[in-house]
Amino acid sequence: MRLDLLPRARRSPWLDLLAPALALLAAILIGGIAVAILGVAPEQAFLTYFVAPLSEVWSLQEVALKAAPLALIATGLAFCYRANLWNIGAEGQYVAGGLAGGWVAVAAHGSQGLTVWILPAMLLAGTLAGIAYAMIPALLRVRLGVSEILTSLMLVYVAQLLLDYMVRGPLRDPQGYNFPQSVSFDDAARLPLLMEGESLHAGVLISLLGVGLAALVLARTLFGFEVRTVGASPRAARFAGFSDARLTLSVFAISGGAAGLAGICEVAGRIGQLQPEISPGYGFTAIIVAFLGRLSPPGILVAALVIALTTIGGEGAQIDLKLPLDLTRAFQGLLLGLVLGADVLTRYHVRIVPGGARIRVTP
Amino acid sequence: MSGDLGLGTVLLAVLGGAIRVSTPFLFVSLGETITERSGRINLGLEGTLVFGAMSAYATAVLTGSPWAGVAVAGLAGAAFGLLHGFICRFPRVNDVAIGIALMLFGSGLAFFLGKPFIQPSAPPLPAIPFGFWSDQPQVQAALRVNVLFLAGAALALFLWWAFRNTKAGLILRVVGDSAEAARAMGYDVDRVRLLATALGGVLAGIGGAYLSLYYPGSWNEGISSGQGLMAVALVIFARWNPLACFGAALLFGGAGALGPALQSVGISQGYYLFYAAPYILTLALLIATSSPDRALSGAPGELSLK
Repeated sequence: MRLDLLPRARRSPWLDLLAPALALLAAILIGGIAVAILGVAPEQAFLTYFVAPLSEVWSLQEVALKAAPLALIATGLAFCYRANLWNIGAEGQYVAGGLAGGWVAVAAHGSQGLTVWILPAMLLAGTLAGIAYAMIPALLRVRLGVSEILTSLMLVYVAQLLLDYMVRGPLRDPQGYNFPQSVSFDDAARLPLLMEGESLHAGVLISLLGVGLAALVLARTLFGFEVRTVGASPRAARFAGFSDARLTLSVFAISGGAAGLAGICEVAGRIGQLQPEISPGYGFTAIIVAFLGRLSPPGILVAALVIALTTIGGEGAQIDLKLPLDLTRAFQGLLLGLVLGADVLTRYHVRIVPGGARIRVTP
Repeated sequence: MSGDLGLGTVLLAVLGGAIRVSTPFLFVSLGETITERSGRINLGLEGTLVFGAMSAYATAVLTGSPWAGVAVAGLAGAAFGLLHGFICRFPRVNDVAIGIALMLFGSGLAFFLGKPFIQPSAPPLPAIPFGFWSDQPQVQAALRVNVLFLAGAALALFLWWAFRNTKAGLILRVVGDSAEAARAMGYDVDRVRLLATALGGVLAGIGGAYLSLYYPGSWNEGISSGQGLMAVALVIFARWNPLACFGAALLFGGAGALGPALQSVGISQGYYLFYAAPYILTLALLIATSSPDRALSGAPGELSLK
């Protein structure tokens, strides 16, 4: 059997939507087989993973709270990836944002009188710290030609160790019985809740706003055009006179700022203090989300909801069906691989030729 | 404790640590060198390393033989390498993105399948006590060298020789430097890259086996903290030269051993900052070996990492 790949004359928008949906379906099928081998009825696992989280108010809120940072980080990353730059250190920029913003909150702890400035200052500090942290790999690439893949990733570990050091040392709560955590933030340093007595906070709105803004910039501005051109054809972009260095710095600033903002939103929203762990790997999962959403802001929003849904569903499955949480992680990696593989479908006709023994690509 | 003895102890601990910690770096970087020499980059080796660690440990627990564990880890690594190579042979599929996907997939799958093996203990790989001549326990501890380390050193030497002196080595380099030229000479570029990625996966899997079966010598979810990816950086630093990989792996091992070594001589303040040493070192080396004009000497021409 031989597979022939014939390039499509033009990409069909339907297929662009269909390919990730097919990939999701295939991932669900493979996941179903996996849980069946583990002795759990696949249809019950499906219900627990994909339906149960949508059936209750609290779990719906959890899905939104998980999706918000993912969507915000992934939207920033989309700018990088579209410009063929590989920032895989969003986790570090997220931690840098959370740490810097949290520092402001700790410094302002217990201040009397006018306190309305605290929260905006935190958000600003978080965003700026994320940008600054992303500038390290960006500048190294622009000035010295160092691969941004490796530097951005190494800086993740440095940021995590720095946060760990800060909450054990300078930022530790003096009355905290030596626990590695800061003081609990004042109310003025917390993102307001959207509904009284519920868990949904204003970070979700910030994330939505960010994704909307990014969609506008990408589709309607010269800068967005530049990013898209570089991604589609670096040669054409160079002929058009777009500056490589400026673009690199800009997209890294956007992705770092988005990750930093997501970091401080999580710290000021759900967590409410600094602690050694402020992320369940959002920065890495966001890479999956960005590609799953085809590097477009609306797609990313959908992808973030799907991933958040499976994560919350995975937590439910752990409790109800005794399925380990790591199954979810493997599922998400599988999903990304399939989506990237499905790209082939959108660009090529696949024809199965019996008898041959390899893949042939007609140029 | 006197200052002299403290410094000597630290140096000895760093040397011993360098030998202990460097082995996974060595195997992953040699594997990645083979893959990158063929013109492809596999970032998924981090996932392969973790999966290798898990499968080796599980096999050793079930069969009682650590060498069976090493073999299974190698096979599992080959499977991951083949998967990467297979997906990347499709046109316009980005090898970097697939690598990231496999990194997440490999570690997720390993954590998932490895859950039952966190508790039981597996038989470790044997080590050779090269420190027998000394009566100091520190020296003896530092010079207990694992067999895999020696195998890795021999492999580095062999690869260095093979890249320039064997037909397979030359074909690999042609494919990596110019796919067009290789095609014109009648070689199947995709097949060479598939094999090179699979071989890289085998070595990364064995590196993982060392992690779980010798040092640190247990299976848990924090077993690798980016070693697989640091090894990729190390390959660039070593300029795709297997012998330089060996030296760089020792250097990285020493940096990784710095934090625990300082802690062991009773430095209680700030020693954990030295846990960041390997990462800072990676960054520093990347910067030191960079060139502003983007032309890395010795880089395979087809490599997308520049």
